[in-house]
Amino acid sequence: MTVSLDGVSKSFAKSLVLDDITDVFADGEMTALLGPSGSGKSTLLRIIAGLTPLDSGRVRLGERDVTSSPARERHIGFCFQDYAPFRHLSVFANVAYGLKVQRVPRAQRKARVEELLGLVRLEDFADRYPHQLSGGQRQRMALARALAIKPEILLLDEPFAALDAQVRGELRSWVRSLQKELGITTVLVTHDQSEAMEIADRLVILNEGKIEQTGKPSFVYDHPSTDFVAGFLGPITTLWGISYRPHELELSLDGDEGEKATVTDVIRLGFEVRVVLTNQTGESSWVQLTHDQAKALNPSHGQRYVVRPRSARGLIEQGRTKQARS
Amino acid sequence: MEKSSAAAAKGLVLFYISLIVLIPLAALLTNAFNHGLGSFWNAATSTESLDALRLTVTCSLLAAAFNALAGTATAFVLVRDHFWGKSALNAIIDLPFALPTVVAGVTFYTLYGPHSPFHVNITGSWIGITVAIMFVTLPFSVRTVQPVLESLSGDAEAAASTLGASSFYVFRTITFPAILPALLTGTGLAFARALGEYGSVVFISNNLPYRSEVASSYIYSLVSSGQVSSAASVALILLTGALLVLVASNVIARRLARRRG
Repeated sequence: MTVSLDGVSKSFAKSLVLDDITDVFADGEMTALLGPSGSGKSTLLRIIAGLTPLDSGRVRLGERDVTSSPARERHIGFCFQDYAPFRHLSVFANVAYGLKVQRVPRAQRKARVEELLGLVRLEDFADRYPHQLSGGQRQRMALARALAIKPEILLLDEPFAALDAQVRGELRSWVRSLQKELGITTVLVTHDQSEAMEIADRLVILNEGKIEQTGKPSFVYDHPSTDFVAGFLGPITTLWGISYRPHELELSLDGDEGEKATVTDVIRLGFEVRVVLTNQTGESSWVQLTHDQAKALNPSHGQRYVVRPRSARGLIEQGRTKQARS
Repeated sequence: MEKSSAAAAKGLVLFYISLIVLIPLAALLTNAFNHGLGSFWNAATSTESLDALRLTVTCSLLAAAFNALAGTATAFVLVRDHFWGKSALNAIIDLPFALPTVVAGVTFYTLYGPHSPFHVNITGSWIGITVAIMFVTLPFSVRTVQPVLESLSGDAEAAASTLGASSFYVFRTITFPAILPALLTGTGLAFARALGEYGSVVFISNNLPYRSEVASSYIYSLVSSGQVSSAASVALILLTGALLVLVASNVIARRLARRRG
């Protein structure tokens, strides 16, 4: 089921949090709402769920206009950042909650909950209470609880933010494959660009309540349309006042096309090597080299190179022309 | 060094508790059984004593139960609503704690006594006694439920509503179970406090033996007429009752709370 937003705006105490958001999240896709904190992404998610009222605009789920429907009538699965467990209920009862609301008969309810607990690999934890679970388990319980009502739309608010790095990585790819398996339209809010790039089919990048850019993660990364998007999605450096990804610059020992510069620092980070250079007028750029490239060049402090971009046009310039063409 | 200072602190606390609580309790116990078990039993179960105890327990139960409702509602308004004068209202809740209970008693007597400006005379009735006790014990329920409500993020309630639950169903299945341990503790405290209430009740109750005499005022009249041992016997019953209620409400509340970690 698609989610359509048409001119959605929201203010809190006179400050504009969402400014005229219009977009469509495609059926069966995983969309990531990506932006820094305060960009309005969580508010947008809560507006879609009906948990926060909007000031103006429309929200449609498929063909149905739900702008004035309360959350309980929207039939949307929602996972909260802190998982919002029902602390006084067992894992089983947590997952069964939505089915109980729908008055699903006991036997059917039990079968469905067991199926869901199997899906999120919590079969052995049915009788536990939320405080007896680890963060990752609690997250999976929240997911099972949201999926119990068979929603056609799933909203995830910073689902991995509270987990440690290893669990986060595992859960991310697991959620990704589960989403593909169920084919459920999913909107995920995150401030972590690598998470969004890894998990989403499409990015919606928000900044100060406005959409900066939308598109496939790899496309947006390579062709950002604004400096904000370029800087938010990955590292940037400048040469002749134009923004580039640091791996788009190359170093050579001689040549006329390019800027003569001196190495001021070499930072080795495992597979990547960062070379910082400064030209005669004091402007500095940095170049990202792979381990092998660095080995061939063997840059060291004080060495002189010619820096030039692999492509004639800068990052944003490329993004703008591609955007205009597509 | 640290160990010895900790031991000293422990000793000091024990000494203080003994001086303030344990020794007087022991004295009460000795007094109650001064003339043997038989006279304790006779004093505690005399018709006047039983009537006073029955009235006290009934009015205390009514007041505690009513305050459980009104106190919870007040806590909700204080936590979830925003309105002009909210902090003033929040401060007023503690007034019954700070006000000498006799002042409350006199106030109720002038408002609802024989010279009531509204021509409402509830002196000498259980209604008057209950109202006075309600006033004195209001802060208990409010102040125990309020912090729990404040600590609820609202996300669990929101999650329940996304699962299709109506507001009433959300309250019944999510919010109420969350505040229940605190509510039990608060109600237990209010009831225990109500059992011994004297100052606020004494004027409005008229203290008619067998009819409108609460236990504390019966104890006072026994002491006034020199029957200290009988007074101690009735007092011991009150004390035991209060203690049992406190322990029970705490045990239940803790058990409920432990399950949810």
